[in-house]
Amino acid sequence: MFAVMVVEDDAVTRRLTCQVLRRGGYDPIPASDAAEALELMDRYHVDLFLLDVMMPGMDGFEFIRTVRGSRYETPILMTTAKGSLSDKRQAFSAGADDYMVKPIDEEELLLRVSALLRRAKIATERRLTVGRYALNYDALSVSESGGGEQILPQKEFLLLFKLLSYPGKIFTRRQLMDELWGMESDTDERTVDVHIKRLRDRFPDCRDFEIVTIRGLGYRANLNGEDKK
Amino acid sequence: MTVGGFFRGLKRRIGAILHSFRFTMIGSVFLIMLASAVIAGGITSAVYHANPDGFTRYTPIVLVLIALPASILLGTFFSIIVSKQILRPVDDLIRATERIARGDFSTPVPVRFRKNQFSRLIESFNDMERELSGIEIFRKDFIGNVSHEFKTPLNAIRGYVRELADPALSNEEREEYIRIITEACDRLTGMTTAILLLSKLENQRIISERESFDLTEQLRDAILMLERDWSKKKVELSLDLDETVTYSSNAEMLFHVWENLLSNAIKFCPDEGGVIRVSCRRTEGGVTVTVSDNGAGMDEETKKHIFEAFFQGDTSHKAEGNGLGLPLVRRIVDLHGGRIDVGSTPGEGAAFTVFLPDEVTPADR
Repeated sequence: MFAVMVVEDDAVTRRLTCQVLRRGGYDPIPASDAAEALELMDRYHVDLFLLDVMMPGMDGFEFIRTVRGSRYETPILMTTAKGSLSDKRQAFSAGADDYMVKPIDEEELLLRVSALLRRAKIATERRLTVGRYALNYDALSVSESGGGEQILPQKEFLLLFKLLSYPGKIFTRRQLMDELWGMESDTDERTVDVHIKRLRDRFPDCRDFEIVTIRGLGYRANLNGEDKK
Repeated sequence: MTVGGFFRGLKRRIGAILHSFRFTMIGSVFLIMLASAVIAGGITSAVYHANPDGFTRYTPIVLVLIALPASILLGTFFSIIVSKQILRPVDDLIRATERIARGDFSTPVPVRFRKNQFSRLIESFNDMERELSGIEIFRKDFIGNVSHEFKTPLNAIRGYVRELADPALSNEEREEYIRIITEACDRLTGMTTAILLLSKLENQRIISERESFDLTEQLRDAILMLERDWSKKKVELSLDLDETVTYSSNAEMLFHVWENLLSNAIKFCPDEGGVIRVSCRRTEGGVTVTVSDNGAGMDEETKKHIFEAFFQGDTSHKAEGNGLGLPLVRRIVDLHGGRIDVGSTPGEGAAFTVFLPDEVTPADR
């Protein structure tokens, strides 16, 4: 069972969040402020932090900096009552992995927690398994069980890895560009199309996943055998 | 400068002088003095020639003693009449100020003179009064509406929570009540967020934190954010967003415009075969974004009111909205100095076209 630490100063919200997490099959560890959270971190293993921004004493941003400063890569999901873009930016630049605006929809919270944990697992293992395919991030290789293994050019591999890490999620060309080629890159967005086409050619009769073009929007990887979003 | 231009300029200047309040004053004083001098002179000369008592010798000193008081009395008399006329607008203004202080915005101040400084002052005063009454009506209506819109879900929550305490409730009933309570809470949340944003925007005069960004990508982001809604309704998207359209604005603020227009379009799409078209183009002096749906559309009467707070044209969708989305959109577009046009035929859908100009200085608005 994954341990999720809930750092939240409001007692009612904390209790509710813990209850929701418990129902979702997680093991919640409540902490009423950042200092308590840091103290509890020494005693328990934490897989994910659910962190409130506004807290007395050390605030959420500072807490993230402290945690990240001591080389903890534990995923952090921030929650806040303010929904402004600058807040969001500040959260991400401090090192948060995701950001939710209160009031929080319980189902969405559980979805995000599970997605974050899934991504953290992918990030630590540096590999990803989709049906019969296994992607190895370090070797840039995709191996098919009972089949061959191919080494992909870096950008193609990263593109496939990105799409398969978030199955069912649509990415715009610009988002993929910024992620893979960097924000400052002048590369034409159509470069993404070229890479997608090459990827499709590489896995012509793959039944475990497919890369779908969403017209006018971008691309999405569908995993077959799983519910499409 | 041509001779004609010079004379036109001169004419304008003379006109301005003739119409100025100061000229009216000086002119009036001159005329009063002239008139009283002439009349006093007339009286004096008449007295001198008539020589009514036959004894008095009209030495110059006697004549001056008659002419001076006569001229002073006449001048004062004329001044009383003329000053009443000239100062009437001031009295009007004083009375109007007292009336407005009492909260009565009913009657504008009459404009008595054509085109002098006073008439301009009165016109601006009337403009101010109109604005004030608008704000007053908005404030009264708004608070009334807000309280009403909050009370409804609060009553529902209170009522159903009490019902939930009933141990004899069936499971279905319990679930139904919980669903109602959750919806009421969501409604309150949505409304609070929208009101906070609206009040923030109402107090804002300029767009802060402008940055350049690709508008088509922002539209795609907004569409993706609403993915759950349009994919659930199986809406077909027809997107014309292939060209990069760079625009400079406050991205976060502008996002609300697309979010609201798109979620409206999704909301009013038919359950079967809904189609939403989105296009974004650079047009002369700015950018034009169109969001259209093939839903129920609206009639002229509805179209007139959709930008008013808490107005909801289609009562069957009342639960899904709070009547603050389009006022918010309007406000943001106004802040950009832009325009929003609505085209709709009942039964055939609606199209919202937003035009945003490139640069706008506060003085232009």
